[in-house]
Amino acid sequence: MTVTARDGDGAAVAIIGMSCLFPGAPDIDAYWNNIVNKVDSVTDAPPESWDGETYFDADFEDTDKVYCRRGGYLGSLLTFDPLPHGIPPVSVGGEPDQWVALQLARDALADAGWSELPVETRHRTAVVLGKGTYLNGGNAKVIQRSLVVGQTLDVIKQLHPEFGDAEIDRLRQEMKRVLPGIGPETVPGLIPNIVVGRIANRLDLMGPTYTIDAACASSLVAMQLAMRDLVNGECDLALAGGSQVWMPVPTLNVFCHLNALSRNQEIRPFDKDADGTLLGEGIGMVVLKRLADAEADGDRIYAVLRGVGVASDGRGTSVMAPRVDGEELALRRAYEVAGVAPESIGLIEAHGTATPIGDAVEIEALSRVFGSSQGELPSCAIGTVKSMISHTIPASGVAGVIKCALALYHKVLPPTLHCDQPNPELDRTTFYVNTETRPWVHGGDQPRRAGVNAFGFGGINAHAVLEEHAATGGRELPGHQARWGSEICVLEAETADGLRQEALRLATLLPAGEAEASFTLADLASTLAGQIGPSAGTTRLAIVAASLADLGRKLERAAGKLADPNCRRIKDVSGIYYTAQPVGAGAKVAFLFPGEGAQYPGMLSDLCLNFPEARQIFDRADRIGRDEGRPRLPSDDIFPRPGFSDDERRQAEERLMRMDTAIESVFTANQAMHAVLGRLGLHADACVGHSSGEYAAALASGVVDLDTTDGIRGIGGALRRAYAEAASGDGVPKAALLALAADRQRAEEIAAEAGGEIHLAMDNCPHQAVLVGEPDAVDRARKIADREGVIYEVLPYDRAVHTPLFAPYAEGLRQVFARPEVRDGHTVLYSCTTGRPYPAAPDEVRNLFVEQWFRPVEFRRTIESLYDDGARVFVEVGPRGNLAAFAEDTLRGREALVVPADVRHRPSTTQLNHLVGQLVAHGVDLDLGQLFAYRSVRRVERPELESARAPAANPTMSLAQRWPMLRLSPDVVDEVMPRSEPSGGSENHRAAPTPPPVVTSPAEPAPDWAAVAPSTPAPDWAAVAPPTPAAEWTTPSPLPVGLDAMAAVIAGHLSTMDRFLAVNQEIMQSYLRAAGTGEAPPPAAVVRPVAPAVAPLPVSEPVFVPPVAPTNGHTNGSVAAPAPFPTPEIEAPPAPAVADLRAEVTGQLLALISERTGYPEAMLDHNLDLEADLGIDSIKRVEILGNYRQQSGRVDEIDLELLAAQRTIAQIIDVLAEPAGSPPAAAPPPAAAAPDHGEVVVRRTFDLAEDLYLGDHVLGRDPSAPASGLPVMPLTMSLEILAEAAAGLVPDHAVIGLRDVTALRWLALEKGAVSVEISVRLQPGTGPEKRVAVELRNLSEPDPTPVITAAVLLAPDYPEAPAPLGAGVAEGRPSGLAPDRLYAGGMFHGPMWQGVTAMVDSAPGGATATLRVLPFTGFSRRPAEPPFLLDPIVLDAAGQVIGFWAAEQLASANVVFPFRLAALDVFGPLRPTGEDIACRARIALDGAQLVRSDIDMVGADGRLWMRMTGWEDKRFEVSPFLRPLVTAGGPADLSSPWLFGSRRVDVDVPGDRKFWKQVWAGRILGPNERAAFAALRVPEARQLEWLGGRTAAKEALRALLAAGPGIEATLADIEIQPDAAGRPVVSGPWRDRVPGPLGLSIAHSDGVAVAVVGASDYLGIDVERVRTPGRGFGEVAFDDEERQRLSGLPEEWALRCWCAKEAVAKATGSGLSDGPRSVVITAVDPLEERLTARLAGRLAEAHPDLAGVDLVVQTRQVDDVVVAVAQDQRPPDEHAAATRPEWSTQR
Amino acid sequence: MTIVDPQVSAEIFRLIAELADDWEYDGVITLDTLFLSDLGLESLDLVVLGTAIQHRYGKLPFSEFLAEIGQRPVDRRDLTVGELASYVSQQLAASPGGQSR
Repeated sequence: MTVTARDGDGAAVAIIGMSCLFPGAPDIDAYWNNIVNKVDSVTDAPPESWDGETYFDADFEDTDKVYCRRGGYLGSLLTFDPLPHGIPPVSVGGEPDQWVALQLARDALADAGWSELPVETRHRTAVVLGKGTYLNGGNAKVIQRSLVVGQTLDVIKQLHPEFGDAEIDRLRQEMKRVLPGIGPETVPGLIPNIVVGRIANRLDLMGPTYTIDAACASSLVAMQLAMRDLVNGECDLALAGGSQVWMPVPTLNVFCHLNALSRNQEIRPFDKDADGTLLGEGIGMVVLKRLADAEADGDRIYAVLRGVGVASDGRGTSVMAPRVDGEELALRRAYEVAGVAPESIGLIEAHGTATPIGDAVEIEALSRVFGSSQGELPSCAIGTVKSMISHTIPASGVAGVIKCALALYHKVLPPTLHCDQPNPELDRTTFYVNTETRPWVHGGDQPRRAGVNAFGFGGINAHAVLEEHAATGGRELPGHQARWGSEICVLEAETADGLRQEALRLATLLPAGEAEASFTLADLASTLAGQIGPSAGTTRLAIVAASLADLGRKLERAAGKLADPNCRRIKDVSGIYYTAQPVGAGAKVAFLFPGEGAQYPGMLSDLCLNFPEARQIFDRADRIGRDEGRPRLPSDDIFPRPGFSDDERRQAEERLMRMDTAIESVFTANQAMHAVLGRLGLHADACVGHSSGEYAAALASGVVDLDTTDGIRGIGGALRRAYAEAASGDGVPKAALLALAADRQRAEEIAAEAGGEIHLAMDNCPHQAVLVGEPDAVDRARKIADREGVIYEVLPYDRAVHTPLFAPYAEGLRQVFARPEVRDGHTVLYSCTTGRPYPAAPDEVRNLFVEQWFRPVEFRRTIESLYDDGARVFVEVGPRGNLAAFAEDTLRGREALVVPADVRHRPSTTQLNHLVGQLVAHGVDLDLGQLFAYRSVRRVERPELESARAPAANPTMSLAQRWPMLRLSPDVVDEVMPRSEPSGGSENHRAAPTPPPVVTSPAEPAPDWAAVAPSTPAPDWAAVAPPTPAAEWTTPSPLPVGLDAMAAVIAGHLSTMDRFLAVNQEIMQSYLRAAGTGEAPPPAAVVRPVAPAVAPLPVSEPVFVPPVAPTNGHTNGSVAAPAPFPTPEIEAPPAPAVADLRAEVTGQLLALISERTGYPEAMLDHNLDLEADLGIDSIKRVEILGNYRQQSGRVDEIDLELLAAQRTIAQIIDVLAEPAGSPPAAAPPPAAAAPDHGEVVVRRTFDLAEDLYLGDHVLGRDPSAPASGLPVMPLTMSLEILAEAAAGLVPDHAVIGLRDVTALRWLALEKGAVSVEISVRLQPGTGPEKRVAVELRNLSEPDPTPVITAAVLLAPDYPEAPAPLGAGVAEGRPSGLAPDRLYAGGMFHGPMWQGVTAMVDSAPGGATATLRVLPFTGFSRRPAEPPFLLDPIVLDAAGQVIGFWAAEQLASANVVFPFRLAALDVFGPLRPTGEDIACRARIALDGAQLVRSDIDMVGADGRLWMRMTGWEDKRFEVSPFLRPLVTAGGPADLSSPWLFGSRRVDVDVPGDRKFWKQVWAGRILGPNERAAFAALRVPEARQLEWLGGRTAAKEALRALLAAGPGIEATLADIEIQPDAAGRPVVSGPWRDRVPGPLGLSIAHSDGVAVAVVGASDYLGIDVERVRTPGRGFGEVAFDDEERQRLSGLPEEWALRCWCAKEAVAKATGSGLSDGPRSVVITAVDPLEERLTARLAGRLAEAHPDLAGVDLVVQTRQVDDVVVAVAQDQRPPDEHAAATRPEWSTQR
Repeated sequence: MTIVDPQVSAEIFRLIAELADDWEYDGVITLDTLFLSDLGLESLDLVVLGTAIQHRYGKLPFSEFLAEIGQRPVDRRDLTVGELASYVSQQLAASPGGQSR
């Protein structure tokens, strides 16, 4: 076939826009990145997708299940933000694809350059989408509700004939409740075509829009149809693609029945062991336009779609089996319609399902069309993206088209995965499996082309032919270029210190991970590059970073170094460059061009992917080769097809070593590199080439003009011919090359001694000279070198170059160099033959070009000359970097910058960044912007950077795909199950604590405490039982012991509260039921007193409610919960008396619309068109208005028809607010049950990431680990929260105080966040002053009871301030606390809460202090955070004054925490930031445990601002060891060093143990350990001991790591987890740096916990409190002989022996596996306090190395504690030195 | 199992530091550190290092050692500090006379 490319252009269409969502890839950029970087996105089914527990059966014994968990799943990527599309959030139900497709349609059009299409185009735009009409979630819901529920009930009735109608009805209700609802909004989603209908509707497209189903061929058939409509003129623009965004279990099951899914759960297309496919989810779209139109309109054209061929299988063997004939026909039709020859295809995106039959049939069909290999190199790459994302069925075709379009656009041959050994069937074809990302080098006269296969079940086959757009080749617009492996980031400043500050500032602004950032590293790098001006005495820091996090780390590292005033330079291998003495500015730059020997397979391939000018040089070399008719093109060897074995890879290297290939490939690579450096604006003052590198140097210096295809061809061809002649002649002396690690003189001496035909051919540097000669002579030289200890390398060449032997063959080149014109050149060209610049006379130049072949290479001398002539910057321009190493060796110790542009161990783009970094750091000016010329980068504006740490608002909603589950909630089971039956089933979830497993004394102490202490009574489970049902509240106090007098009061209060809660709930429910539709009045009027009553909820972020709000935790609806609400969510509004009808109407209406559509009220602009802007159709409008009419009680007066005609909210309000003739009946209470005074419940979530102030209020923070500790809500912040909630009830009032504040528990953020519920109730009263009762519950508690209760007072105005307390309260006795030391030792508050600037006076009866009004900026990240009503910082500071006072005045129990406040009075608004507030406190002790204070805060004007009366602190006696937990600057360690290198903690925790436990755990445990700790089912005392043991162990390890390898590990980084045998094992990120064993043993007993660590596995410790052992202890623990040994010894020795046994057993790692007899005490030495033990029984068998060895155990008794330690007794150097050398060398 | 004489490894660490000149390496150099990939050295640097080691310990058959590395598949053509230290240790152990300390 000889159809030319242009013939079929009339029928071709251009791909001008694309969008997609595939596994692991939320967009095109990520998709392409994943492809290029070989990311495998196949995973197990995520929880969002389907439930493995229910549907997975590996053996497929249940053939209704699925034997394959793995596939390509979208999981959390499947989200949708409805608001920009004008979609009511509640409508987002039904099939998820309709929403994603809408988003992708917009994205694809945006990618094509349109945010909005012109109307004439809109009306001529088609949408054709391939979609599988399988059973989907939407149908399934209908089936479940209509069929399954009924049938299930029938089954239940059969099983339980005793069930009456009531029970069955209850079950029916429950089943329907847990299933997702079918609402008017979701029904359309069940109709397949809605997916395109929605696109047409929202984007106003009026071309043909429809879905098609051609199974796996759907996408390509859709494209064929779209293309046809375009070509026929039916439309001018088309969106086409395919969608399968969720993979229903039934589809997977069908594939299992067909045995089509991989049993190995791997998709390995074209591998010989491929055993099946994996299915996946995805969707993709392309925007198509007639090619001529696209060209005329100047569109970016990713690729040209030349044609799609489609064919069916006809009468094959089976409708499910693929047929070669059908596939072949589709291929042939495609090439026919495309008008191109299959031979012109360079890349096949195969269907490649990886089923054995599918792969075989596809290979056969392809080979029929493409022909067979005929011994030539395979010409066409084959692969499939299915190897990365699996088979996305209807979307698989578009996945391939997008991949190929980008491959053509970026000239990249993309890789395929998991083909380790290609299917042997491929051997006879023209295809090779491409497993690496390679530049698509192409020297053909036709454009690059690719073909895409998609063959569908049922026998429908399609093939698409794509072509690069030639015109675009020259001016590639940025478009989805793959991310670079690194970026160069440059900072500039006047001084080193300025640079340091810049670095620090940037480091602190960077977000922790790329995911949180709104910009990319490339965006930031290009922004920084844009700020670098010409070098002018400034100083620069250049950093090569792989990620934003990497950049952050390196900036900090650099800043640390720059802080040292003596820092002259930073030259860090990882890419940090700075110098105080730049050599670059004004220095001469020399380019060094390597010659043969520098080449290696794949050199610069990464550069070719990123810089088209580099690839074009290789394209040109191929074109020349092709024109010469060579069977192998340069790229065949330079970028060889991937080898599948080491042998193949070695052969590829060897091929490149042949002289012709070698010279040509290095010559080409040098030019490519030179082109890239030229683009960056780097120019040389001198050029020099090594050996054949001279020609590249001559070219670069302009001395010869070879920069044309002709010129290159002349040189390349001539060199090649010369070599061919040399090789064919028989007189060629076989030469050998020997590189010696010696200087020239030494090499010449060796050559002289060797004698014979041997010459010094290259003098490279002081450490390398090369001898060349006849093989015998070289062999003699090698032996001499061996004898002399001179390191050598025999080089893999056999040419006698650079010796007189080569002269005859070089003469042939004279005529080659006679041709090109020789000029002066623009750059000085140095000769390595003379070591000087080339002569001026052209003839002499030509002569040197020839002579250099048989004269030595004087590289070292040339580098010296260059240096002498002023060159200070040496850049090697070519592959590998050898010359730079030579030059560096030569110039060692001198001021010069030597950098290679390429090295073999780094990707070439990354090395380019290192080059650029070093150059700019040295003041060389480059055009840095060129690094980003081909990429889509954007400027990062300063404010964006400054808010980079704030997480981006994420308004998207998850489109959960989970199959609806039919489940009963436990409550319903309880309710319906017959009472007579034993209630076993329903008791189970009452969480009766299960007893701990009884373990026979393993090495980990935690579970074995019962075994060790046989005399301990049965554990007191009640102490740790989780909260029990309400009835039990009254008897045992649920509170920790220690609150004594308080406890009874609180317990009583709690029981009241509990009842109150129940009653309250009942009232609310009946209210809601009566009100019919529930939430009517506007929440706005409730939450925000400052806003006008009608204002919508003032949120700045969209908020919406899920369509099916789960009513309890058992529901698992089809829609996930929305993102956490940024502002209070109003659950049940009150019915305040609102006089203004308009305000009332507005509020009710907005609330209704919001509720019925899911739009946050803030979004409901009154002037929006309900239908056009908000998508509220007429049915919904009538529904809303009908509801309003019902709810408002204005049934008669409202004319629905009139209302329904209104288009905007404002118009509706106008109608409704216009009293129809007569004033409306005074709005009656909506229902009888509505209470007079409503209660409002506000929910708020606080978390560390948002509420930054919490991070400054952390107890137990480890000074070395900022993330440790337990953040707690400051009490005064809780007051603010209560005040805000209360203010919502009473608009336009100021908060003038609080009364009766009681805090019952801490509000701690154990998991980094806490959700609270504040219920607010207006108290009866008529005066202007309003009193609101408030209660705050912690929803994180299992059964939330109020944590804080109070009343908030509000009034229209602040009251008159009384006279403040005088300054004499503290009797004028100066405080001893220095202002600058206030927060240094005794407090835990961070800077945001450090409001006390000075303690002035302090006396037993009072204190005075100076407070400062601190700013709220930086306090919170919440954009909508309302202004504070109180000043929690000043209030907290006033409370801290009592803390400071206690520290100074109280001798004992001087740690105080506030818990009660009788009254707070506020006499004026917030004070300006910075104002000094005088704080005067009258303080008195109340009994031994309370401190009561009255505190005044006086403004700078001398007037009382706030007064706290009856501020009560509880006093705590904090154990000394716990003191670091409440102070910020105290000692770091909680444990203390003890005997035998152990550490000890005495676990004495008075007071609120639960609280201290939380704080303590927060300080020392990492996340995994916290989970283990939370799961610990032992009494609290044991939990505390467990913490004590962990603390001792971790602190011992921390000390060991610091002292040994010098590792600074935080406690949380030292993870201790038990292994299978229960032995504690330590791990952590630092573990790799500590080779060899790390032994660890922990023990605790009755309040004492110890741990020992060391560098040996054999390590065990045990500890026991001395007590009288129970009777029979001796009999059980010891045998006769042991008892013999103990007789006569003090009683405590029995305990010591017992400990010894435990310690030995622990040291073995197995524990006392056979009971006490596992370890036998063989000797007791009371004098040395030593015991000897031996292993016995199975323990001995398990440890043959220890069996029979006398194991020495050391013991001591200290006070009433006995300890025994078993450890390796050999001297430490014997067992440690050999295995851990770097401990001693790497300090 | 790799046997490394701690004195040899200490000496190699010292020589690396000397060779590195003003280059820094972000991280601790351990026996697992790779010369080319981690330290960014070139093959010539290995030769220079080998020469320095010979200078310290006397003649060692480095050429064979380096040739063996050169023969490895390309993705494994690198050398850890431990490998080098182990090689030197073994050579010294095998030929006690070679230790010209």
